[in-house]
Amino acid sequence: MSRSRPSSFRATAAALVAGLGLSLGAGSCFFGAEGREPPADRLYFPTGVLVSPGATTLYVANSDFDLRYSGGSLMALDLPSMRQRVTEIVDGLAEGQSSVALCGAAGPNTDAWLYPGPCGPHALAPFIDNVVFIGAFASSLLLTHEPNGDRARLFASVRGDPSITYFEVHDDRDGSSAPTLDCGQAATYQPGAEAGSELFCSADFRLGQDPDRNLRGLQLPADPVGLAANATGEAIVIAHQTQASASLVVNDWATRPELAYFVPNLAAGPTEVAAIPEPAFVALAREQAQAQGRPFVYRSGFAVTFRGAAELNLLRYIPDSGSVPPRPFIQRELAVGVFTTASGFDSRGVAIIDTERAACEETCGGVADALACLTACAENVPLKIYMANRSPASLLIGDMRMIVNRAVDDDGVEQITSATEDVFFFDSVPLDFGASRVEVGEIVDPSGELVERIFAVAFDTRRVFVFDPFEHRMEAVIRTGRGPHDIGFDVGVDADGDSFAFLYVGHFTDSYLGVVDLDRRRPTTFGNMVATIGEPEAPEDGT
Amino acid sequence: MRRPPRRYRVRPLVVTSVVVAATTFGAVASSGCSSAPIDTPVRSLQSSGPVSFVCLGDPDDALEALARPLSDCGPTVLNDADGDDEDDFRNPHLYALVTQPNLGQVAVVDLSTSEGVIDVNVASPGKNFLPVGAIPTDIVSTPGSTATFVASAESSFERIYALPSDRIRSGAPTLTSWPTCALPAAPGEMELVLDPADGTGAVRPSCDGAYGDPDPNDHDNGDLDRELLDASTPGRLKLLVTLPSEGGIAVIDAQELLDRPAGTSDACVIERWLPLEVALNPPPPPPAPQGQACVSPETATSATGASFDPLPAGIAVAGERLYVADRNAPVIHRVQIDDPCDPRELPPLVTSSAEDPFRVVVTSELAVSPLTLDLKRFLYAVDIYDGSLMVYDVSDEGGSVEPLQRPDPAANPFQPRDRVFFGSPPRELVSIRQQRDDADPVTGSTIPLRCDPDPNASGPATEYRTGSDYESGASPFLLRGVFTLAVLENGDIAVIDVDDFDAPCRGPSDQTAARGCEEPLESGLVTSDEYSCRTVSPHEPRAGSYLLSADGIADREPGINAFPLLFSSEGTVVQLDAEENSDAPRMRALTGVGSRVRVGSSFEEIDDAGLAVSDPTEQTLIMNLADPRAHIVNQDWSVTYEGTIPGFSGRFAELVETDEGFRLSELTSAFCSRGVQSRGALVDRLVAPPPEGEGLSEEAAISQANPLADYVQIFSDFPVESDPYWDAQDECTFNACNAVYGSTEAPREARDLRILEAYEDTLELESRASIPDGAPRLKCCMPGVVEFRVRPGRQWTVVGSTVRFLHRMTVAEDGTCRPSCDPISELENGRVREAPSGAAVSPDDPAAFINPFFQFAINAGESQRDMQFRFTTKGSFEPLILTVVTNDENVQPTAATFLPATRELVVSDGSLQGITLIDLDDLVISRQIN
Repeated sequence: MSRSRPSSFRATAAALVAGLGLSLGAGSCFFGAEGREPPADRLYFPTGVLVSPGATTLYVANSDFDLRYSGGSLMALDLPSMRQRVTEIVDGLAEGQSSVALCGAAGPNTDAWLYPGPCGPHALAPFIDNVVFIGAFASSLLLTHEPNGDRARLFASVRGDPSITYFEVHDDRDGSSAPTLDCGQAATYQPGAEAGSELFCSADFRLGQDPDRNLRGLQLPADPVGLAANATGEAIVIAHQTQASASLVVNDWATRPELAYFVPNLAAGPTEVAAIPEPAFVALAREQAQAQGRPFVYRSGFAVTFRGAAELNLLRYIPDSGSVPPRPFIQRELAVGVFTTASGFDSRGVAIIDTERAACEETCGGVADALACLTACAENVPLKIYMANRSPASLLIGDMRMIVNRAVDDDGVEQITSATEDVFFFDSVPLDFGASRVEVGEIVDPSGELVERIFAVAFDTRRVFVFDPFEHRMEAVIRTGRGPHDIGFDVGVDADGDSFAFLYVGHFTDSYLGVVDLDRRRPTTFGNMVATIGEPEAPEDGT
Repeated sequence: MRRPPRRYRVRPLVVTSVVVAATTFGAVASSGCSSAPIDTPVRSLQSSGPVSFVCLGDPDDALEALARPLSDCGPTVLNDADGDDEDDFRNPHLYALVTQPNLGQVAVVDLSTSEGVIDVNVASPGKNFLPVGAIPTDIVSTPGSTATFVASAESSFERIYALPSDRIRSGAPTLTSWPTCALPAAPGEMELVLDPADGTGAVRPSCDGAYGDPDPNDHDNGDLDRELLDASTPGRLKLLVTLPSEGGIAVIDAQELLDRPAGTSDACVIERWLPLEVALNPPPPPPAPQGQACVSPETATSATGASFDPLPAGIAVAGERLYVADRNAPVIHRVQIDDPCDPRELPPLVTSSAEDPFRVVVTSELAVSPLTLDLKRFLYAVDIYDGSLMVYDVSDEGGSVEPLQRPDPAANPFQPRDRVFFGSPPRELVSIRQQRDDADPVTGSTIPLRCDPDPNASGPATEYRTGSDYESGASPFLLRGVFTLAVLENGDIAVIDVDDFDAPCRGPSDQTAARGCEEPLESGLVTSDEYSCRTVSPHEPRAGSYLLSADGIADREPGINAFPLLFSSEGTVVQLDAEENSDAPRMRALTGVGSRVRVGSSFEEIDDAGLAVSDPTEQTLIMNLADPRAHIVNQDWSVTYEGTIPGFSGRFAELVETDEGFRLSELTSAFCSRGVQSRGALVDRLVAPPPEGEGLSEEAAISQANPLADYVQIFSDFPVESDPYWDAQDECTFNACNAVYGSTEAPREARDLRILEAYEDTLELESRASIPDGAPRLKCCMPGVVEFRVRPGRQWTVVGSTVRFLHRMTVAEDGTCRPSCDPISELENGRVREAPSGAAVSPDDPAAFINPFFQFAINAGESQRDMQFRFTTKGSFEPLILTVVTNDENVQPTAATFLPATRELVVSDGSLQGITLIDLDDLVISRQIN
């Protein structure tokens, strides 16, 4: 355990900023270490950016990447207020306002190379709703919601502990807003007050550190990075980049989440995880099978990418409900080779979209044989999978097809017995150096409709690519500031019924948020950064 | 089965990458405190897209004199020692205009000098390109090089930019330097076609104008009509621009656009708009093959009845016809464009898959071949979702609207019958006719001739024969004819034979049916003496070497490294010449198939009994020589008595007791797809009437099937003896379980469960052995999930290290596993039933084993479980693969263009490799510019 941070280490850490060579030793532990508490009023090497489904809160994880402080932080930002400010800017630009009038206190932009956009940086503090402190080197954020309930939990993969740190947060799916951020911290954030160590999350909320808390006596492997949850939020799978493993956290809504298992001996460098959306027919088929006393099997699936292998893995969650006590586990079902580029190595972000299938499933609402209709949707409308690769920099495109097994029962009736997915990649689109995250988002099209797009971030070359999956073409290439890392989408319909879409880009290198206009009805600002939130600051030992 | 193709790596001759030592932020950062700077190569070109070419003379000349037809520019590359070759305009220079999609620019590359990428704005640091709108999607240049048109898909600013050739080499142009017009939607691909003059030579200035009407505009930016007159092809150039989101093609007058003042961007004048239609009227499917004991493959009438919106993708022009791929609809559009002002859509080509008739097949890229010597023309299309190629006959007469099928698909089940697969999906297709325009130095002829192998023939056609030293004449490396080049996404370039003029001289001298030859069979031909008549096969990958085995030339005849060896179940070699092994099973070649087999570096004669002449105690077999491409890879083979069927290790299944016995369920085991043969499947065959079945009664069939049916061997250990499980119940004990079922190291027969019926995810089982009364229940001994193996009963399994276990099983309508009736599966065999001891076996004997690679039989002996024959095959087919991958594997081709002026293929890289030029005469990388 290292509790001191010699300056030479800090210099090296800062040097790593450029390439995100985020490799930590298995024994690294950077949490609550002695030294200055993390700042509660500024972004610091932000890595995770996530918008709540009700678009009331923007969660930002700060990684303390150069270890200047004793840990990182998690912030809950007031998204409606930020949206209001950004909307004022884009409307002002459309009306031809001068930058002085437009930018107000932020003033005109004096360094468009560092942070593109019309105005100088907007102060972060007015937008902060809540802050807690976590371990250093947070990687990713994940929000889960209780099925048929009103609870929400936020999970952060934290490499410094290492842990999966979780937070009880407000479920804003009904549009209500509350800045809840509960991770067992000793005190509540007070705007303007000096923040101390009492804002650190308690050990109870840092999963994977105590082997006595799970049936297998496990500790979380080092370097947790990407994470994803199944539809119920019950199974959370985490990739461990240096450990060739993936772990399983079972999120029991009745009690608390716990580490349950990890599968070792995967390929080198597991990086990102995406959950496979469950088809609608599964619930119905399961229900019918139970009623008839026959088996039906479908297991939640997760796609895992790898830096060190030209493959994508499908993992399956097995609840082990037949055992007493159940000991859930995950199993590698499939390794899918990547043959659509010369090397196919170094995969990063991955996203799976089910929009077309969901649209098909919606048509089954009034159909007499809903199971047959829903099953036909699942079999005939494949999911699309998108994966960012760095070698070469490309967006790989694939299909995820549903395989449904059937058998004729003793009464001569065909019954569905099981279902699973298969994946293959068939195409690739060039990106730029440093391809990293891939996310599914929406833009506002010229008719005012929200339409789906694939967003791929290129960290090294400061670009976010916007890919139209329906016309199979690159729609826009967004120029960002240095080190775009994670992105979040503030998308919805306002009180007047008008659609809005903004992209929040966490700029790792210079520690600020950039806001991009995603409304094609505004030709001059669409695809451009229009606001900077937080004062940009170059890395201490960088440039 | 896809296999990664071996690469015929072409040799880079000249690499003109701009290498500049630079210290970037990343370089400094990653070096930490190191004091030594790191040299990082900096390239001018970034992600590159489509390319077009112009031939230009001295920049001081007026545009009319400056712009030259491409034919004026030859392959000559100036390379003055003083480095000022870029100013030498004694000969015109050939330029590549390379789109930079991520920058919204067009790079200008001088292909005639060593300068490479031109800096069009020397006042600004670095190499500067021509700015156009963001996301350029296509680029075309006029045939006389007067202007170039670039389509840009920038959101809300969709445009076509016209680049007059007198402004592209310098002058620091800006976005407002070009005549421009605004499109109503994002453009896709683009072509320039001719609206020809009428019979009197008069040209119409617009589609709505009359022939002979004067053109009202001045042509300050270039006179395209004059360019066409100079080329003796009077007419008017029209841009055909696909607008994918609108589902159609716009016809735009190129001269009208070029005549616009620079910097304006009024709407394009769309003279004609052709909305593409998806008229689905596919021909009826052929009747499915039927059988009593097999499952007919599914047939479907393609997508009839469904409706699709068109989404045009790649386009190709051949003669008076435009072909348009569709990313959304299962058609390839055909448009008659003899009069571009009156484009008419014809009935489309139907895209379909014989292997998966219910799949909606959509396409991305197209290429249409030049005419073959038989005046045939073929269209190649990329099937997006499985990354394969389909081929259509689009000849003026006798064409077909469906993909062509291979004539003998069963010989090579590793390729679909109506597809060509590669190791990576094709990104771009280019079809070429490779033939020198000047008189052939050997024959003196300029008329293309097929090579003539007739021993009695004489004349020019005989001069193309393969030389006796294999250094000249017909060869795998000489492209003489019509070929399609598939540029794959992994950077490889596969060569497809369309009409190889030398094909008649490639093959065996003495033809036989076993060598894939068709009647009438001929002998004494003067050929390359390669082993198969399908050495060159139209629409299939070209061989990358001579298909023969001869010292110093090639070793490509399929064979085995050494005679097969028989191993006991303990792993010791069983020698047939040892007296104690006289009862051992033996492997022998089938009779009447061939007289020799390649073993190691020699040919071994096979006698009429199927034994090796040199040593009849050797185990042997004989190779199939009909289709070279079936030999997809060299691999190790094992032929194992009751050997495990691959694919089930490491799987945990749920074992449940039922009234009939057991049910074993495992979601992803895919029992049918892995070839499990249940008793039910065997009974179905045995009760079926001859010739498919044996016409047995059900009772007799069950009796025969019981020992042959596959069985499950439970391969889990019990809970350890100290496990609390044993104390928690009193039905069974660890010792009792061990006594009846044994361990995984010494399993007893009680672990073997016969497969009564198999489904994709479930097996219905019964005990294969008789379990003594009072013995513990298997489920009591195995309370949790179980690991398992599947073995055939009293048969040998044939498993290749690459192709694994071949079989014909598929899922029947009722969910059971049954063999497919599809004839393409005819050779997909993986089970061998034993022949009587000592008997020779002919190919039509039920005990004969034939797969796509080889043929043999096994005489019965004292066969024991896991007894195994082992051997390794050699001489697999290697396709001719060029590649743009050199030292850096970070390549991803985005576009490819044939440059007739230099007979080079120009491949754009979406990564940082810029453009790579491949000399198609010598099959080498001639230049790489980045």
